[in-house]
Amino acid sequence: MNSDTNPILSLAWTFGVMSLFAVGGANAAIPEMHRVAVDVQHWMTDQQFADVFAISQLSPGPNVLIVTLIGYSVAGVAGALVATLAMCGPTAILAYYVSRLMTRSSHSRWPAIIQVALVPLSIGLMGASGLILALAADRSWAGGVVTAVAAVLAFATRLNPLWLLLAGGCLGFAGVI
Amino acid sequence: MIVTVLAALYARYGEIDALRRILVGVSCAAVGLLISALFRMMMPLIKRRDLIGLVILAAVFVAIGLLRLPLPAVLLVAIPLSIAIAYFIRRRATS
Repeated sequence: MNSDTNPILSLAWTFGVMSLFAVGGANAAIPEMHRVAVDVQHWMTDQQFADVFAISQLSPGPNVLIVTLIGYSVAGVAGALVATLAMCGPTAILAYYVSRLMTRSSHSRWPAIIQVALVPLSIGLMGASGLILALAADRSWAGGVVTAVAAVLAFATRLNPLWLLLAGGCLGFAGVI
Repeated sequence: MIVTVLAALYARYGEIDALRRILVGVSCAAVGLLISALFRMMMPLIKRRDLIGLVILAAVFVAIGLLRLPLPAVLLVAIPLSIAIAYFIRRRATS
């Protein structure tokens, strides 16, 4: 779709298609969101994309909220609504039919095979998300250090992630990053 | 609802310097959280020495993260391929 078409339609189309390919959840779809929103449609800059990701992680609720924020920045409240519905609707319908299919064929080995096959895919996608977001967010070596420390702390301890986000915010406010 | 309010706030005040700095800090930490979740998910594959799984993982990472190929194209190749591999491994294991 061209950028001169209606942005609402463009949002609905982009996220409607994306939702069908969102193997591994919204965090795994981040590279595609970034590619479309920053590189293809020029809806936002790299920096804004990192901001939007940060806000979506701060907010209570599912990761898919990043879509709401992208929609809002493109076309206001209507954009937020359309983007969210487009991202959730098709997936919900697909998930419903797939789960019905899975329970019906519970004697077969296909569900297990498909699950085994999709796990590495979604982890690979999340890895790509990590790389793209790190490139967008970590503009300085100090930022890279904060990312690394947050990753290690979150991995090794049971600290509430909100504390880490808060600490990052404080360091940013203090001008360290 | 909350998120829409946050989005509106960001649209209006996103250019304020202090807020900019805070967001930069938060996004750095948020990326760290994502990376830790990533390693948590990878641990079972590493523990099982699931070499094929790790190769598929790496291939998807390169295609999407480094080459920046479109997601639908990558998945249309990767999903059938990965399912086929899982199927043949399963069949060899049971026979």
